[in-house]
Amino acid sequence: MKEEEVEMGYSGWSDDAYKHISTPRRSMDADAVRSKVFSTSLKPSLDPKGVKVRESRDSTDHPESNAIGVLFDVTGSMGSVPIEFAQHKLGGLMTMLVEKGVIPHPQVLMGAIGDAYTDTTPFQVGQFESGIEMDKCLTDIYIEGNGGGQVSESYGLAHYFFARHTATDCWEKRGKKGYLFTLGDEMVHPQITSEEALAIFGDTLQADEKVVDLIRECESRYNVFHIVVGKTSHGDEPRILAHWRELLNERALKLDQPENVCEMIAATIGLCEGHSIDDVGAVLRGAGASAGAVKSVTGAIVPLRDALARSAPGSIVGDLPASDKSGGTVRL
Amino acid sequence: MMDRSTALLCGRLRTARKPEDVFGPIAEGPLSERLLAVKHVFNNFVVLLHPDRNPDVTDAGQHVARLKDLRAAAEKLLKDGTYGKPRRATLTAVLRSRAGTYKVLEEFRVGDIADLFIGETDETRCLLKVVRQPRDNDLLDIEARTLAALHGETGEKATVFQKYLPKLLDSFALIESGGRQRKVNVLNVADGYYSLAEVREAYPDGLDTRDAAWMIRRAFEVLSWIHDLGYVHGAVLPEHVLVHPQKHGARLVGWSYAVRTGMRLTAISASRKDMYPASVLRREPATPALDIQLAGQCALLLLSDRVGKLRADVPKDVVTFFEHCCKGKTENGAEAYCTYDELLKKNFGKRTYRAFAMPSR
Repeated sequence: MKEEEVEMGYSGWSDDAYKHISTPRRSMDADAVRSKVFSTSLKPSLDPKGVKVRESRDSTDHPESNAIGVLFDVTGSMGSVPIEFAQHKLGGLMTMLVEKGVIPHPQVLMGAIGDAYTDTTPFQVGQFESGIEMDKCLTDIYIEGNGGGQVSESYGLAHYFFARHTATDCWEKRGKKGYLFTLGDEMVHPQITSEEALAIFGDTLQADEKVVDLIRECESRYNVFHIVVGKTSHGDEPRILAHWRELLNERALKLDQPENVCEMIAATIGLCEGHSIDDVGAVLRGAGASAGAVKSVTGAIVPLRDALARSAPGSIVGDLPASDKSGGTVRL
Repeated sequence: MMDRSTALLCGRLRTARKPEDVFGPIAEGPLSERLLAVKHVFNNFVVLLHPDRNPDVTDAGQHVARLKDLRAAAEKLLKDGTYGKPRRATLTAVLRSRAGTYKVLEEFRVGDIADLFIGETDETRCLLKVVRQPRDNDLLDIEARTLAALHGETGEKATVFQKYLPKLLDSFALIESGGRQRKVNVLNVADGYYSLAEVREAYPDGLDTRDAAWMIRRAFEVLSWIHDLGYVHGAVLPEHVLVHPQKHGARLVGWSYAVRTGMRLTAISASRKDMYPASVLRREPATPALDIQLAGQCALLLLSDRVGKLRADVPKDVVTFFEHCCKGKTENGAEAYCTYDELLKKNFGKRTYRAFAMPSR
């Protein structure tokens, strides 16, 4: 893959530093991690209320940044996924993204989704981070662990936030979409009500917002995915995947084994970045994924590959400089 | 996993804008030697891309095709003596997508969002719409998606009204140096069509109501169809309504602002900001009445002179109707079409063909 970029070096993510902070957690049991590593109440730094915008910007070290949002469902049984992530997975994901060159200069934002009907903390959102600070964002999450028996959660809060409260240089400077992953085992509540928007974000809406519209709005600047996580309360029920397929088509992905979540994210980004399924599989193997995990993940993204092939980028020979007209449109 | 040189080459091929980006500097010397140097590099690269050598290269065929383009361009530049030298921006660009190859022939228009070029593909002329600012890629996406959806409709009405829309021939992102992506929509050309803005330019004292009649009626007609399907065009502006003087045909272009009924517009045309009703700036959901508001203003513009004074011979009830449209009181294309048709019948009797001409360009 992009070996030349590895040699240039990305300063952001440090495996050694990460090992240093994550090793002690590895031997803990999940309950201990939840109570000792993660927050036990909402951290102000993750409170979305009053947040105007979370930004993913270029810098000297990261001249071509790429924004990636990963938002976990933390209700019920799904709470184990971020715990597993903090114990074993984040390092692997960043190794794949950065060292194996899946995508240059990733800036990852972590967040958590609950149920606006039953949770006191239905949405938490970190910052876009290039380095080890993203582990802090992850473990600052409060895993409330409720969820309301309707087999629906408020995943739409993530779509709302990304549509209205994020800004990225990858889009603004380069016209390149970022990535938004939500992970969960249930369906999505169809609306964000104006009461929720006020209570959670401090935003005044003229009317309730349909989540399907918010997803479309997100899709203008992000590649939007939902990962239906199996081996959970509802993730293996066919209606859950069918529900998400209605909303996202081939971008609703089924993850059979929850422990392969970072492989799934890396593989999906890899495909969108123009790498082949075989290349992606090689990256996963190189990062230590088992043959079974590689097979399961690469199998799940075949429909995505086919869809992407239909929209492959074009190329240019010669010059086609843009005219100097500016300000042709006003954004509303 | 492909080797390092191949990875580098693929990266360069993806982002190269000119042959020098791939073939590098070529020492001065007799032309034949310099051509030979290009040939050597080319051959080496083809070997790298060969499946036997690098089975992991995806789209090897596309890479090789692109390499061939670049080699041809390099040879031309060497023969012209301009290889490796700063060149004036010329329109010799060739765009290649998965679906086709497009040679840029000439500049056509500068739109709100995109630069428009006349191009050629398979010996057919086409219109290449290339976004100027990458951050506006989403607007060209909207155009591509909407046109694809409207052309996907079937039925009698669809067959009639699809002719009023541009055909979407291709849509892709152009990857340029620095990882910049610019979206390109390829449309069929509208030879012989003029925009209402151009018509108005050519008739500075305003049009005869009977000449404007068919132009506006056509606009209402196509709007009635898209409104029935649940779309709002969102930018029915003088630049976006095209008419064919002889055929009395029309085309509605500029689909980048379109939304589903009830959604909010995401952007408006800066140069025509004054034409939009305040509801749009307040971000209220768009309804078909918005298109009719804009169309009503286009109509009044056609019937007015250069200082904006309506021609004296425009029937009063026609003026009242357009003013009604501008206030958002006509709900959709179907209602506008019926009311307008009645008014025309009342004032001018049975429809007859009236020759209309534009001064030669």
